[in-house]
Amino acid sequence: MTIRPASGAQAEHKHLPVAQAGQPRSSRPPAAAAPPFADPYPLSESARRVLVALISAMCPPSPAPRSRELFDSVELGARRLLRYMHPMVARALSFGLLLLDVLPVLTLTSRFRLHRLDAARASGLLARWARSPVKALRLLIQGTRGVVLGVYFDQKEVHAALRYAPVPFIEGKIRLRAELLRPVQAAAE
Amino acid sequence: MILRASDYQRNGTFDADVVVVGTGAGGAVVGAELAEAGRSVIFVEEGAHHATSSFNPYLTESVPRLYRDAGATVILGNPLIPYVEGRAVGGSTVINGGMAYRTPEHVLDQWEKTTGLSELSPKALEPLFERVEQKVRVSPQLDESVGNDSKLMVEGARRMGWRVSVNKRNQNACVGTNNCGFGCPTGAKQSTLVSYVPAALAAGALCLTEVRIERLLVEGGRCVGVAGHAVDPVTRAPSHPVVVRARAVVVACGAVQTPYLLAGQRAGRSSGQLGKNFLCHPNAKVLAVYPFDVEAWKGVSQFAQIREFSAEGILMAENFVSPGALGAHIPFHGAEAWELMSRYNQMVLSGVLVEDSTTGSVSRSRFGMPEVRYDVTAHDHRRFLKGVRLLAEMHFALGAEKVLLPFADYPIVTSADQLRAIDERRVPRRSLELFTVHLMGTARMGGSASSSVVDASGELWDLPGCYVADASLFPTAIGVNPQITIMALATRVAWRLELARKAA
Repeated sequence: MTIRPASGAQAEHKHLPVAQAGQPRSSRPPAAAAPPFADPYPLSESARRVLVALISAMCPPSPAPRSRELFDSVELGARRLLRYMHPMVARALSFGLLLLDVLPVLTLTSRFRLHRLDAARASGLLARWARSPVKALRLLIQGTRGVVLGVYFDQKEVHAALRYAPVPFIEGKIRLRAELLRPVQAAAE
Repeated sequence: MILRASDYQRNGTFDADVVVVGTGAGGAVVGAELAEAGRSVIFVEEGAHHATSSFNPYLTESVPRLYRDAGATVILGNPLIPYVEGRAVGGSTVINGGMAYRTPEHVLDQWEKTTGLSELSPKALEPLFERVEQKVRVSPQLDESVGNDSKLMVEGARRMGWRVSVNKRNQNACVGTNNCGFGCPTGAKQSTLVSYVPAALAAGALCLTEVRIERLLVEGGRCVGVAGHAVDPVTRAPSHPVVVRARAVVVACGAVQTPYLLAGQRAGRSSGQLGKNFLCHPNAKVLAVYPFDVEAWKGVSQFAQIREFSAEGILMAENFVSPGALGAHIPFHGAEAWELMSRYNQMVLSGVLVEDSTTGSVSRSRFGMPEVRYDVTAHDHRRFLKGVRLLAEMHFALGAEKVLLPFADYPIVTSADQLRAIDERRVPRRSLELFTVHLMGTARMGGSASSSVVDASGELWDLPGCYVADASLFPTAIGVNPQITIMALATRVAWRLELARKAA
């Protein structure tokens, strides 16, 4: 996603003070300066299954936005975040997913693993574990919840439901700034 | 010129007068000052170069690209404290709030007294502050940039009879996109990405991006360069080796990564102070929900600070964030999360910052990463409870319906009366939910090799040719946002380096 100024002059960056003031810029053109994202973190099939179950359990129920496409985006975003974490942290979190999966059985809460429980039941269990006296378990829930909900609440469908529309707002601000700087630029020229 | 990972396949060996590791508030300033003085300078930056046009309000695009380890970094101790730092050209200046405070005079007086360095006195640092403030255009905000949450906070402070100070910021016509944390999409915030780094590049500096430095090169007892690997942008794994040889090496990786790098080389350890004296200005968030729309995302973050309690080391300010960043930190999921987050437009997010009364440490863990330790003291615990209570009272005085507190066992209150029950027994230290972005003090500057890591020039006492220029230098906490102090000290390091070269 790239925010473009209203003038459509994004490639030249007319709106940037560094350019307006004639200050030096990097030698690469800005469009070429943003490298691509890394590949999503390679989870095992079993860990991926648990992540999908966690997304379904942690993301809010209706009337909040919920759809297959939305959850696919959350999974992709979560695995992208994992890729950029320290490898030890990413490994610990992916191991944590497997641990969470078997926890209902280990704690004799259910005969089924987490990924086989319905979303509401899994959500309840996760809420209980989030208040566990076991610090490591609390941390694991907080960590995975932070990743899942951080990505969920970053989706455009969710933004629309929250009446949060940052892109047009920022575009308007870019226009406003260009207007504010126009006299300065004219004087400099 | 800026190089990236794929460029090192052809050539991974470089030579310069000065190599600077890091391009944040410390590294960029040293590099620019020296490049403009005619030295050949090479920056080495672990992150990538992201142009202003690429910045946007999306967490999933911004955090991986701009934050170290995608923000998944934590200080161990009681309680655990998540922290973040930048990893991109511009370092943490790309993602900070742009507050531009000089070091308070009483802090500089204390530094001068404890280190015996007259170079750290308010008078000696005055021209450095002036120079830095001019370079990054420190000035008050435009009225057009101020949002409703800032206006509410100022009104709340007025009702409570508290002193408020309007923040100066490093900005040029900031119009308040409230996107500071994900990179300024207008280029108004004068991060080093749009100020010092371009100036250095124009003066001929080279910037090697996507390279993680792993060790210092030491020959004949002198530091003569750095070595590391390019970071593959697709797999994030180390790829081609990169070596930079130089007459001087400046380490400016921040108060966590700098001691980590130096300790790996057994450098800077003669006084036993390397990695010690870690400071972090921990802070706690207080989220208020109002019965009317505030739309706090429309306006600059931290327009003002409440300084009524600054003598006690407590600062308060608003600091609004995107739904993604907020959603990642609320203590709920499922229906409870939606119940809270669906009121996003009616929220005001504020914070209590407490000046450190203790220190922590940074060391090398066996897992190939820094281990940061810090325990909040009983004194700080009491100050957090007081600050949170006062801030929540202010929100209720302004008509807030409910307030989400930063206490794991005591999250939501719906009236000011409920705040009276908050004490150390009900809210133990482990229950505090803190956060920090101000990391300081692990390679302290001083006048004696027995009590500090570097001398007044920033050079390691036990490794000639190796300099430090970042927040690691701070002898104590400063109680305000640190970037201007870092820039001023980095300017001094650059000038001293240049003086030493001329003398030689």
